[in-house]
Amino acid sequence: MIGRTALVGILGAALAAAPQTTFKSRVEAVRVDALVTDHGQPIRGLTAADFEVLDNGVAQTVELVSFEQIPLNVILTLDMSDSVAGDRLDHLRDAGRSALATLEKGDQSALVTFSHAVTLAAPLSGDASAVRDALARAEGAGETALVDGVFAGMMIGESDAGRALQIVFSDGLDTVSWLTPPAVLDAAKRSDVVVYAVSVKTSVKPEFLRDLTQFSGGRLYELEKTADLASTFKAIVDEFRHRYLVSYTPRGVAKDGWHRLDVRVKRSGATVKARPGYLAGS
Amino acid sequence: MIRLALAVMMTLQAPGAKFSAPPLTMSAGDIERVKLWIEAMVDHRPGETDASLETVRLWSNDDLRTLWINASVLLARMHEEQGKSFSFSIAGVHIGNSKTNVYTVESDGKTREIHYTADQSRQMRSLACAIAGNVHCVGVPTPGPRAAELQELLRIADRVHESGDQNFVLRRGAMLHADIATGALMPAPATASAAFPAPRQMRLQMFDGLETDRHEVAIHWILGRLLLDAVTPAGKKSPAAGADGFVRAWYRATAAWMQKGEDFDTVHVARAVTLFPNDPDLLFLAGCEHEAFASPAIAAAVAVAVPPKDFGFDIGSPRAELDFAEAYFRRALKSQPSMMEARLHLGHVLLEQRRFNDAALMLRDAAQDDGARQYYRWLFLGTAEEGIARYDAAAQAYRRASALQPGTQAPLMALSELAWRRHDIAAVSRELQRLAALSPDPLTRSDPWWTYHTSAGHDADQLLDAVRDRLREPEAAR
Repeated sequence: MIGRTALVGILGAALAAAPQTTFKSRVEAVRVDALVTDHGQPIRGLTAADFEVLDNGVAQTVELVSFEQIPLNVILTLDMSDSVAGDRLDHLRDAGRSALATLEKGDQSALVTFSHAVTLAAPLSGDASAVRDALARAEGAGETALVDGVFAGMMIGESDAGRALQIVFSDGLDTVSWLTPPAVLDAAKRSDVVVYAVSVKTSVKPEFLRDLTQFSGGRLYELEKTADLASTFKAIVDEFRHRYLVSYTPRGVAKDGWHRLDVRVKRSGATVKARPGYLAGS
Repeated sequence: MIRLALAVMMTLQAPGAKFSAPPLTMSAGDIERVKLWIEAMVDHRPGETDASLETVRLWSNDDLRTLWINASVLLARMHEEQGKSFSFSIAGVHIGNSKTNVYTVESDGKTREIHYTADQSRQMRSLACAIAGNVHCVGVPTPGPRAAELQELLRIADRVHESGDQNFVLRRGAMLHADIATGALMPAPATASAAFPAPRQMRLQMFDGLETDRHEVAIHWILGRLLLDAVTPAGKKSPAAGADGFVRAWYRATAAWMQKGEDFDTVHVARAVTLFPNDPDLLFLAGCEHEAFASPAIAAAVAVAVPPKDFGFDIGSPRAELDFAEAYFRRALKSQPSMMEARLHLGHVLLEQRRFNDAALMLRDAAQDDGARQYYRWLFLGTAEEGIARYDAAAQAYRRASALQPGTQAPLMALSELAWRRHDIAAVSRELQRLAALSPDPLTRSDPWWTYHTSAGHDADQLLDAVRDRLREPEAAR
C-alpha cells in the first residue's frame, strides 16, 4: 500500500516467543486481491494484460498478476464469547479444522480468539497443528469484543508479506470493544488483508462485518445455523485461493486520502470482486 | 472484573385494564397485611436481613400491589389525621380524594372505586394514626378482639412520637424496601394480574447484547418512592419530598446502587431529578444512566426486545440517549462546576458523538482522584486527541493509561491502532506483542474499561450505609 515503507515478520515471530525481529523494505506498490469469475466459476490463466486498474479514475500500469502460486496466510479470528458454547463451539472448532485442512505447503495460519478479552492464541506460522491445538483449548466465556478482535487479527495479517486472508466468525454484536467500528474500518482501508466474515442470522444486521468485508474486498456469509460452518470456512479458503493478486505502482494520483479503485478484466462475461479503494496517509 | 449481567426495568405505560369493573373490596387479610407492613417498617434494622425484611420480601407481587393501593389510602389518611390533605400519582395510577369509606383509583381517564367496610375504615384510621405518631386517635385498647392490635399500634405511635420525626415510618419503610430490592435474596414473584389497578414493573435481563430473561419484579422500589413522596420535611406543612435531605440521600444512594449493578430503573432516576432538579449528584447519575443506555451492551438488546403489551422501556435511540446524557452532565456541571467525574463522563459522551475537539477540551481539564477514573480519563483523552490528529498527544495519553493499568487491553488496542494510522509498523508490532503477553485465560483478565458504566456507582455501598446511619440519628440531624 502507498506510503508504507516496511513489512514485518515480527509479530508472528514474537508470538512464537523468540526469533529475531526482521524488517523488510517494501516498494510503494498497491496490491489488490481480485476474484474474477464467469457465472460464478473462477476464470484462470489471466495475465497482467487482461487487467485494467483505475486509481481515482486514472488508468494504471498493472505490473504483476499472480494466481494460486502465492502462499496464503490464514488468520482465524473467532468469537469465543458466552454465546459460543455447546454445539456451536463444536461446529466452530470443526470449521477451523476444516479451513486448516485446506492449507498447502508454504501457507501459514494463526488464531485470534475474542470474548471481552482478545487472545492471540496461536502465532502466524506454518505449523497448523499449533492452531488446531489452540482451537481445541478455546472455550466460550464472557462478552464480545468483536471490533478489537478483528483489528488484532488484521494486524497479524499485516505482519507478514504473504497474502492475508482473515476469516472472522461472530454470532453476536460487539458489546465491549475499546476500538470503534469507524476506527477499524479506517484501518481496513489501509490494509491489504482480505476479510471474509461469517455471522449467525439474527434480527440485527451485522453492519460492522458487512462494511468490513465490503471495504476489504471480502464477503459476508450470514448462516441460519452453525452446522454449516465447516463447509463455509472451506469454501472461503477455496475461493480466496482462486483470487488474483494484482499489483501496480500508483502514478498520476494524489499521495494521500481515499483512492477509489476500479478493477476490470478485458473479457466478456467476467465479473471482478475487489476492494473498492484504499486509504493512504494518516 | 467482567460484567455478569445487566438489567433494565420495563414500566407499565398504560394500565392493561379498563377500570370499569365493579368496586374493589379488601379482605381482612389485606388490611392485616398493612398492619404487618407497618410493624416491619418500624422494626426493621436497616441493612440487616431480619425477620421484618423476610416477612415483606416473601409477599407475592399481587400482595404488594394490593398493599400499594392500601398504602396510598393510608398515607392520605395519615395526613388527614395531621390535618392535611393531598393525593398521590405514581406509575400511571392515581389515588384520589377520599369519601367516607370509598376511595377512587384513577388512571388514563378511567376510574375504579375501592370500598372499605366501616370496620376496615376504622382499622385504617388506627393504622394511619399510628404511623402519624398520633397516640390519641389510634383508639383505646379496651378488652375485645382488637385489643392486642391496638396495643401494638399504640407502641408504634409512641415510637414515632418519641422519635420526634413525623416521617419516621416513611423513612424506615423506604429503607426497608430498598434493603429488599438491593438484597441478593430478592425473589422473582409470579406474574401479576393485569386487570389489577396497581403499578407493575418487569425486568429485562441481558448479557452480551442479548436478552437472557424477563420477569415481573416485586414493586419494592415503587413502594419506597410512594412512601418518600409523602415525606413532610421539618418546618413544612405538607409533603415536600424535594425539600428533604433524607429523601435526597436515599435517591442518591439507590440510584448509585442501580448504576453500580447495572440494574436500571428509568422511573426511579427520573423521579429523583424531578424532586431535586438542581442536585449535581443526581443529575450526574441521571446522565450516567442515559450514557449507559447508549452503550452497545444495552442498545443492542433493547433494539430487538419486544416489550409485553402495555410495557415500555423509556429508552431511546443511542443518539437520543447520548443527547440526554450530555444535557444532564451539563446541568450537573452548572450546579457544581468542579465536579470532575461529570467532566469525565461528559467527555466520553462527546467522544461517542464524535465531537473530538469538544471532548479534548473537556478532558484536558478533568483531573481525577481515583485510579480507575484516571485510567478512563487518559484513554478518553487519547481518543479525543487522535480524533483531532494530535497523534503525539494521543500516544502519550494512551501510554499514561497503560502505565496506570499495566495488564489491560484497551490502551494496547488504542496504541496499536494509532500506530497503524501513523504507518509505524514497529509500534503496531510492539503493542501487539504486549497484547500477546496478557493471560490467555479471559476470565483472569481485567480491564476497568469493561465495567466503565458501573463506575459511577463506586460509592453506592457507602452511600447506602450512610442513609441507614441517618435512621439512627435524631430528627435534628436529618
